[in-house]
Amino acid sequence: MSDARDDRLSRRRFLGLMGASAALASGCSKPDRGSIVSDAKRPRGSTAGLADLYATTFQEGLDSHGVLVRVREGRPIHLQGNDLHPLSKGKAPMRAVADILRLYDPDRLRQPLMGGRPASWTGCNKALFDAVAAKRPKGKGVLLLTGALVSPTARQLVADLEKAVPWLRHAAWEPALPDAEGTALRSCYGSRRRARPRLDLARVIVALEADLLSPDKPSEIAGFASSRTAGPGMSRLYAFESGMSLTGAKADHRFPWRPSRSAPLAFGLARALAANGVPLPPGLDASCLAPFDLERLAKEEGVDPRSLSRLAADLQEARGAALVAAGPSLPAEAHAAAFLLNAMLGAESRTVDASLSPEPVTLTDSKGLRRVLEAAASGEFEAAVFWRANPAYAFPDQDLWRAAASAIPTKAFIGLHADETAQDCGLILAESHWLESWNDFEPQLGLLSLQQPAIGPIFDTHQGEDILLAVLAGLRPSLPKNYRDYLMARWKSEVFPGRAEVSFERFWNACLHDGVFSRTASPKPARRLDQKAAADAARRTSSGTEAGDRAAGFELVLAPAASVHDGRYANNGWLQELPHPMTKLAWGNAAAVSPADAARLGLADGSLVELSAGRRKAVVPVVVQPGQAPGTLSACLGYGRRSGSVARGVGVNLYPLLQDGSGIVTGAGLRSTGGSAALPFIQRHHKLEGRPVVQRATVQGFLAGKERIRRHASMRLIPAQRFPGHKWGMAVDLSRCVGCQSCVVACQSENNVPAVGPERVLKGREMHWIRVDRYYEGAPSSPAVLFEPMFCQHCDDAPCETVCPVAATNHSPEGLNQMAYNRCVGTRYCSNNCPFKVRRFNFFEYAADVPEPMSLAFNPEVTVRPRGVMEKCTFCVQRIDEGKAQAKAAGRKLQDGDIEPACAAACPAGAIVFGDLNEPSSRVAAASRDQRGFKVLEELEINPSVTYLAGLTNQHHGG
Amino acid sequence: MIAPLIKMPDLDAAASTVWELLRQGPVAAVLAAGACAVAATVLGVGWLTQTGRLARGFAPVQPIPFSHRDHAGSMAVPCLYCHAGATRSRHAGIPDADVCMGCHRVTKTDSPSIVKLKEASDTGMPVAWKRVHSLPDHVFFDHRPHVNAGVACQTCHGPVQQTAAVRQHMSMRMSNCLGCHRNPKPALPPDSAIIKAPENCNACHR
Repeated sequence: MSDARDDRLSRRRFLGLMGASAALASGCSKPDRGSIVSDAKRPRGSTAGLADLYATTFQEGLDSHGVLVRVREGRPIHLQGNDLHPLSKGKAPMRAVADILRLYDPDRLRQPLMGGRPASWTGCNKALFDAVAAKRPKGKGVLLLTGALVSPTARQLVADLEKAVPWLRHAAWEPALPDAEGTALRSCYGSRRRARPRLDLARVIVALEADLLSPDKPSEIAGFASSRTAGPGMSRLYAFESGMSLTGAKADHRFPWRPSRSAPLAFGLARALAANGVPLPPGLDASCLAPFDLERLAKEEGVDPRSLSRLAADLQEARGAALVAAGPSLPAEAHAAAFLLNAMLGAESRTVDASLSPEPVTLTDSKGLRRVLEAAASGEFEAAVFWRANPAYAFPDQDLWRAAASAIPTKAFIGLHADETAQDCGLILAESHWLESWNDFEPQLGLLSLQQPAIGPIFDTHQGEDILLAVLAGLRPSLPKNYRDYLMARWKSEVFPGRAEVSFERFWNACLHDGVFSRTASPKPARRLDQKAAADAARRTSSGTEAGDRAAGFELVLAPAASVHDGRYANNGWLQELPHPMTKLAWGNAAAVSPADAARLGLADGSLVELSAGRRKAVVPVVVQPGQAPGTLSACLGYGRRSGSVARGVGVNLYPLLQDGSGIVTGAGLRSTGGSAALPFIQRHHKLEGRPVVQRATVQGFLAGKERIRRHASMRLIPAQRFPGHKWGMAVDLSRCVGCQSCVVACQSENNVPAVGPERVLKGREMHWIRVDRYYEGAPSSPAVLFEPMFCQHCDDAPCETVCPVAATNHSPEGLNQMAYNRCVGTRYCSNNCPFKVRRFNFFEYAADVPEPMSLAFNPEVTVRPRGVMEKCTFCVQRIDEGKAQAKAAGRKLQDGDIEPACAAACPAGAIVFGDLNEPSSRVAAASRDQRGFKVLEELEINPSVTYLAGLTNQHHGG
Repeated sequence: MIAPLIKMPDLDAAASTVWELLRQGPVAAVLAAGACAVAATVLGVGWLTQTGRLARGFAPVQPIPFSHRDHAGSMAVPCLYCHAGATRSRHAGIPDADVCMGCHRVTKTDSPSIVKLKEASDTGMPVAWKRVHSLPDHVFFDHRPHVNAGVACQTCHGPVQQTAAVRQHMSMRMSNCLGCHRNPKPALPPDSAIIKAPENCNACHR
């Protein structure tokens, strides 16, 4: 730009002068650019502007996962898996990544409350001590109702408390965890130790109503993905299920199947195997299997009987590498049948491994909890403490809960939010988030995983263990003063090997650094199936099936939602906006009905129906789900919360329909109310219309060269774009992708992507930079499902760039389709011209709606976009820049794998590969040369930088 | 569309217009004169307060009157001793109080400023320094490549070692960045192999 041109009053200069004047008029005060607050004491090794990673552990339900927290200037901003954790292997479950938002949730309790008023911790601790432990209150008991206590040290603490306070009654309860599996484990193996399914070792997998690939199981997804390489060792997945799950969607053979027929099917397979010469467990009376006939079952469920006999043959062939899994919602008999099959197939200690499973967590089953609450209602408890338990929302029998609550005079609550239960309690103790807490876990015998705070408590909160420790310390003054010291003391005495060469402090710091500590543990001997229990289960099944046949109505399967789980994450906007992986419904739940039933009853998406289980009823919208088994309904728990500014009123609470600790309601009623609701779907079109946008092939056909991936021959008239330095590209392996949407959440957290709410999703204004498209192929009664993660394809000849009137979007010399927010004037031409619909427009000032302290969750490396600008996937350009700058500062060449976008880092299946296409040895270059590779909408000649690898399925010969 | 607007007004024509209006009535004349005055004020104030004009030389009063002239000048403490992040991180960083106390535990301990500093180090309540250089939120300047390429700190920050209070030396306009990115030679050491710096959007904006 020459000086002469500068001096003229150009358009730009005129606007600049006007702007400067306006800025002066609006801010005509003493110029102040704010403050830079340096650390008083900077932690050693930490540099301003560089992220620190801390290893900690995320726990949910019965499972724990090793994670790394990315901390910038003292605030956690992102979560990823801990690669030193031998089970997590660098992958974090989706909800752990999303839970960073709950840390900064403005609805969190900010200080302890007594009688609704803010109180001091000293006062509250004393009040809790007086209520619980000071003396036996009027000869009555005290109830401690908690969630599952998984941490060995927390269990120790509660056990100590029970010992010190003999009138304390502890019950641990997980609302969305049915009893059946535990019951079956106890009766068949004598212990509730759960086995770990080894999907990486299994060659034939049978999932009975079991979602093995749900996003809270990253290691299972990783194991499955590793077994999907084309070749003779490729696994084959059979799924029998009512509703369409991710497992069913990925299955090579999926059978819409009523859950009540799962146990008969498994026993029928056992019978067929026995008939083919597979030995039954010694002592098992073969006659108990006689009533189970595969052919009759197949006819009942409308399935080709030959496919079931082929399955039996396949299982027999894969003995030692076969795996049968029964879902948690199935009755105990189905679990027993699965155990029997696994025993016959030699799966024990191979594909079903319990040798290193940790001691089972004590849980109170639904009958036990009912007894506890009945005792409470009859006035047995003078006081109660609720910790991470929300019976006022999730206990199905709310009449009993209300009676119990009103009969307990003193109620204390420990938790993050003032939830439904807290509203009944006089003493509310604000709990710290797990990212502010200490703990330890033992996900496997000999493997200890530590939880450490990544940030000091944001509010005036204490972690639950500290609150209980304060009660215990009132009786035993010699105890450590805080839970961290209690934890360290326990580690010093029980975990520290005590060798002389390292001090405990060094050992402890090393464990905190790694997040895990492994010690040798002697594996437990292989479990032995109690043949009598299995035979009993078979007999109960044969009599029960006949009785069940007489019951009219639907089989309703209720399971925790993939996003908000059992309701504990319902106040998280990211998870509310994350659509259901199959229905793609965001912000709420719906009952999935089969297309046949919908046609029969005159229902369509959004029709409101009244579901009934006994005398309890709920009105929910309906979603017509291709592949749903006729006669069944599926719906998610976790919605319909009555508290939380985000969660309140979203969806319908279906816990009241649950019965007897089972996840399945048999004989459920469905009545159309005639009304309908507009449902906020993220995806509204479900067919491919014959276009090869997503491609797949059978592994046999592909390897034999009979099935080819459709490519479009280029008819280019102008020379291709040239990128002499780096050329960034991505490859997505659709064989590996299971559609879990972990990438969506990771991207949202990394790139400051806002959640917009149901009204705007209804208008198609969601902001996700990456989405997982889901398509159905084939008959709606039993379709094939195809997933395709879709995000900016960074086309070399991008159609969006040519239409931008202000050149706000253009191409970088490294092949990135870049977006300059400060240039964008919001014409949205680019979005109109994008064939992938991946550009998102800020219709509102979403960042301004972010309540404090939630803005602390923002990634400081990514611009927070204002209203009126377009945005889209950047290939995580901030990570590219950081990777390049770090390599340069270290004086080395950039290596493949140095740069990993958030989606690729989060993908548990390892389906997304990123790198330099100009580097022939890079993984992404190899993947883009793969025979399975294709580009989406290749015929448009826009040259996307993203290669998709066609998904392979491994059907049994002959279909 | 803008061009006719910004053509300098024909004064004669304007005067005759005003005259016409005056002849038509005093209210119209006042309105026209007011509009002219507003336009003149807006353009005038705008010209006087351009980002590049007022921003340069900005030197706020700091909570502790730290002198770069004494430290970086007379005592020749290297810049990177305190701003150690500049080679490793996007931010050069402001040293924490403990770095200062490394010397000041024994040097000038009774100066009121050092007492203030010691207090920060002892209590953990950090010093809130006044920001001198401020970039818009959509600009992601990275110190690393600049410092590692051999660009002297003074190229952008001016002769800091000669000034008592830090002042903004460079205009923070994009044209300033681009000027150097297009022709980086003058800012680089003579033996540097770099002939060009990136000019694409993502180099600074993301």
